[in-house]
Amino acid sequence: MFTEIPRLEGVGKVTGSLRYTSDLEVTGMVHGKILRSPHPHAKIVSIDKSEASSLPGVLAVITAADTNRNKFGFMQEIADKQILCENKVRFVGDEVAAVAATTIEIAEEALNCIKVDYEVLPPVLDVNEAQKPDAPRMHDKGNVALSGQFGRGSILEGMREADDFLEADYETQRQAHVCFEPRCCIAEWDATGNLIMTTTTQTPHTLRQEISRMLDLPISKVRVVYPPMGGGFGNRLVTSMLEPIAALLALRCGRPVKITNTREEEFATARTRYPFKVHVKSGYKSDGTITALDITVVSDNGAYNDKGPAVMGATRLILNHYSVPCINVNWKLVYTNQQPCTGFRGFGLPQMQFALESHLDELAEKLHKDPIEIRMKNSAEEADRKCIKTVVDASGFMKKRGKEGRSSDIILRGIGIATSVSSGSGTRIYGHNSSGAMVKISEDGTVTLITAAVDLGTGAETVLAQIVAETLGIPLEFVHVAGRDTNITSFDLGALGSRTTFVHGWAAKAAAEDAKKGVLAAASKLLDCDTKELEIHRGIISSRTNDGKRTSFEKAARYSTTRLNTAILGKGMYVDDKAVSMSLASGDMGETTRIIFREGEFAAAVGHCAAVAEVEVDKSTGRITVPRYWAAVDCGRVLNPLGARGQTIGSIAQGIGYALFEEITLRDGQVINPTFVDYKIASMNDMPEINVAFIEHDDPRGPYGGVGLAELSIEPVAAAVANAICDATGIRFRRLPISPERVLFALKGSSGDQSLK
Amino acid sequence: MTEWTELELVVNGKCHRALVQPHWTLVKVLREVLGYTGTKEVCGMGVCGACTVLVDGKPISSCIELATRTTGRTIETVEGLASGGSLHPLQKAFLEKGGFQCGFCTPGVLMSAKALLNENESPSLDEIKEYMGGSQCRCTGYLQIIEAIIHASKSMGKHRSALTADAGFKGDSP
Amino acid sequence: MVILMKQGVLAPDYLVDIQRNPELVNLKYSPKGVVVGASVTHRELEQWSGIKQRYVALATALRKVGNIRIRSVGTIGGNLAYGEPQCNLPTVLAALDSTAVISNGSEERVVPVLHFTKDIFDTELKPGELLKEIRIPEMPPRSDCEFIKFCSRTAEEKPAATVACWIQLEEEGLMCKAARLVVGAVGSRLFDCNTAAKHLLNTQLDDESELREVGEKAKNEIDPIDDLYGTTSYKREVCGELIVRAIIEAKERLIRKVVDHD
Repeated sequence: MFTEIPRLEGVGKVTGSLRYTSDLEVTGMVHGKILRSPHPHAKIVSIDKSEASSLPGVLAVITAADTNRNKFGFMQEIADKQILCENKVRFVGDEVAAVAATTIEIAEEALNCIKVDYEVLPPVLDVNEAQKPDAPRMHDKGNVALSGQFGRGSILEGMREADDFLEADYETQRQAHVCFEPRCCIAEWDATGNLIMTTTTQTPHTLRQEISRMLDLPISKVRVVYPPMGGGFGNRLVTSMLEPIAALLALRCGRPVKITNTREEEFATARTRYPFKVHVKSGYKSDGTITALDITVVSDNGAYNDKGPAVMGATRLILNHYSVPCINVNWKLVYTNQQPCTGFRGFGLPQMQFALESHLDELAEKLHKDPIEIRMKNSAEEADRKCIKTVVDASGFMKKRGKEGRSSDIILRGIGIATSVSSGSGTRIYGHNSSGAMVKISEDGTVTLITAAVDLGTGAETVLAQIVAETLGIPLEFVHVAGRDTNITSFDLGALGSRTTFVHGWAAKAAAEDAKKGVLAAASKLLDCDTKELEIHRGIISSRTNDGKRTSFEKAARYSTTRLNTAILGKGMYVDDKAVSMSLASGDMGETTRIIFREGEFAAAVGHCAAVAEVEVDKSTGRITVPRYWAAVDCGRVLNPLGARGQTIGSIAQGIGYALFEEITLRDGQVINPTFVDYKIASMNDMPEINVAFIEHDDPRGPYGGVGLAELSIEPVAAAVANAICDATGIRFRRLPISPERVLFALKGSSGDQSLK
Repeated sequence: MTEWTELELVVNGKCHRALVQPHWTLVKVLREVLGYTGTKEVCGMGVCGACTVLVDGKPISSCIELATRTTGRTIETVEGLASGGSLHPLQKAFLEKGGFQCGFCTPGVLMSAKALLNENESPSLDEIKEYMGGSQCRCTGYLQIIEAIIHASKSMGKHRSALTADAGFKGDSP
Repeated sequence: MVILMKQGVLAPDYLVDIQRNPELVNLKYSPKGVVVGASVTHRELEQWSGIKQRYVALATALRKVGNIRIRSVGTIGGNLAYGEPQCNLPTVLAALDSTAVISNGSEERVVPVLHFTKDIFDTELKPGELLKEIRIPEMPPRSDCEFIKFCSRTAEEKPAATVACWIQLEEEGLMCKAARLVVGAVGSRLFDCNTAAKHLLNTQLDDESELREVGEKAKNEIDPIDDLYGTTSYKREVCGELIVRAIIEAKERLIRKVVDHD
């Protein structure tokens, strides 16, 4: 069963018949548009919507005055954002007013008719500027929005143990998710005042809570429907105000309202990856053992709080990854008048691992050791060491390292390694991580898995169906997957943290086991034998002891329904009983909100990976290409090799973009590259030859031995590439993306990126 | 006042009448007027390839093509790829090789791949990369797309040689 | 153009489809070279036997234009008339000394491709005029052309720079008899690196230090724009390097050609 199974929804995708939210229309539907701030920071003096309201075809125009002015945050403790700005706008793109009209064109025209009088305020566009005492304040509190600390051991003692220290600063950029389907939603109210929100979300149940908080509705009055989605990658974890605005417009005009982000809105307002400034100070012994890691992270929060605490929480996994006895991480997220940030594949780990895995190589260089030895010495788990050994052997790392670069040739060649760890089970940061599933067996023997899992395109539904089929002993063709509606599915945190295969896999397995009891009970009556002697294999139920006694899954199901008068419905739960031990608590400390991660193991299961990148650097242009790449991934048992390899290669593609060219560029608070022309993602011709090796074993923590892997492989890419560039050129690049311009000028000795030689 | 014009568009062999404004793009008309929502608009600038359809057999970005320019020409969309209830070899190959994830770029990628195989029955890796390089995907990292195209090309080749062999046996010209 | 219409930059009252005008789909040899009608597509030209062998650099440039969709339906005339500053094709056409034939219906005038684009999205075309055809001169003996498209971020994007060089050798040896060096995509128009080209004359093409000097001179003959594709100083630096590389490539191919010929 756990083989290269094509996608269940695949035929719909290759024939174009699958309907995404953006393809949907509802009878009577009208179109919403949002008026956004053109200024990074300004007071709203007045808004005149009269002209817009009187335009033919315009059905509703709303401003903050039409909202309940609730402040919103994904955790209510950090709420700082109103649905529509009331007194102030805080970034270019901030929501000021909204319009519903019969056509998109009329809605756009109406936006142009809304007159907003702004009093422009000095913007804060840099985290360092923002922290100065005289910096303009963006919210009621100080500009340090959130801060926290975590770690283990005593840094002072760890540093005392050290023979020497190494300090360096690393910096990462804003990366855009670039989901191919833009964010869009359709809001509709029924006759009894229930809100039906059809939307592109990774987190339907928490979105439902968010909408209920923002609109002062009981949770039961909000129903979130989530059709197939054109990508997520962390972009759709929190509402971007599309949903509440659409709901308010729909309420106002009594019609369903659809809002679809334009591609420009997508790039400029729909959130990016948090950019990190990471200061690392390591204390180490001369044999390469790191005794202490003192790390400070400062990130641009953008204008409003978003998934920052969870992003920082994910970086706690470095405690699992390195055996360093004393680690201290101090972090803060600082408000600026720029687009807010959010979670993105790997949460904070791609950022953190770029810093730490670059740092390890710097350490190795300083100690004249090879990068493998340093990693083996400081790695916490055998699984990591196995991954390292696999990629090193497969790539011929030791033979190539330090040999091919630094030649007089026009192309410099180098090779580099990096590793990472990621949750394979979701995290316990929220204090709960459970979900449920149901398995319904129809009278014809077909099976419906009702799951709260959200398939963003990852293939989650296919894997879950495989788990159900395996558990029931039936062919996959018998299994359908349903859900996609918060009124039907069990509460769940959503598709994030590589938790779907794990959490929903366990829940589906349990539900299938429960349903199996019903099938066997019917079969035992039908065959007149004890359920204990029965087994199901390929849809045939037979007795282990009496060869003649056999029937089919279908017949048993029919018998149960029509003769025994018993519909078969199995239910199953995944309960992470340790999740309550780990949660975040915020404490108001006046100027800044401090986030405290409670003690405990961060995740129920983790995955590991190591990666080797080969690079070629063109000496005359600084252009870098990655011709070959090796990844070793440990996610326990691979439940669908087709999907697992696809997730891994896809992660690497996003990682290469992150390392080399992807960056949301802001000038005076304005995103200046909000198009596919100006923001580039990796193309087919930027992809290396990739060799993926799965270190397979049954991980007892995961359903059928498998754990999640969707985020793992993006995490080490940037450091592996940077380390390879250093091998090729002798230059250490500590800031992403590593543009050819910086490489060329560094090669010529005229830039900030300094040679280590 | 807005000007309207009626167009006759032949999509996947079926003739349609559509009331449109002259500046409407083909993707808008396909999706919003004729209901062919398989074709997606992603970048809106002819860059990403998600909206690729074939006009007279040639791949075009329907997001930057005016619908009025396609009257009297044959338009092929992803909805027309399967025929007689069976999937096109490319569709099968994309399923078997995992050539998609979220599926949003897939209609355009498939149509572009179809145009490629129409022009070149067994493209080399370099030829695939040159032809398909302008079709972007955020999920797959492309390698399984390439594998799918190669697989489809091979299976179509087998099919062709089977047809030829068959025809030879019967003594008919194909 | 549809992009500009969608962005509201253009709002024409009328649009005339000229693609099917037979006069504009001309593709033929003439005693003086090749005539390419404005409505010939990139793909048609690229796959035309007349281009493949004789104008290798042009074929390279044609394959590097935009993406397959643009190449399949986009026309040579459309390419030039758009006045896109980040161009591929005009750079190599200019290095080949091509000319653009402009017609107003009754009269024709001929403009070198080098000067066809005057500024960003601004060309020689005046209201009432139409780009009719491009004339590419016959490749003179012992000469060849090389084209390089340089993308600073991904493999599939607008160029940060395009360079093209055309060189001709003396009757014997590797002495350069004539040269044209053109840089495109870095600024608002094409740049003819005249001084650098002059420096190349009477130079041995295997003299690396002289070629470096040519590159240095070319750097100062261009006027790049600072943008997402690179800063002014970066583009200068890269063009200097790429010019040298293009000359070396052209020379190598010429040597092969001459050897084949002998």
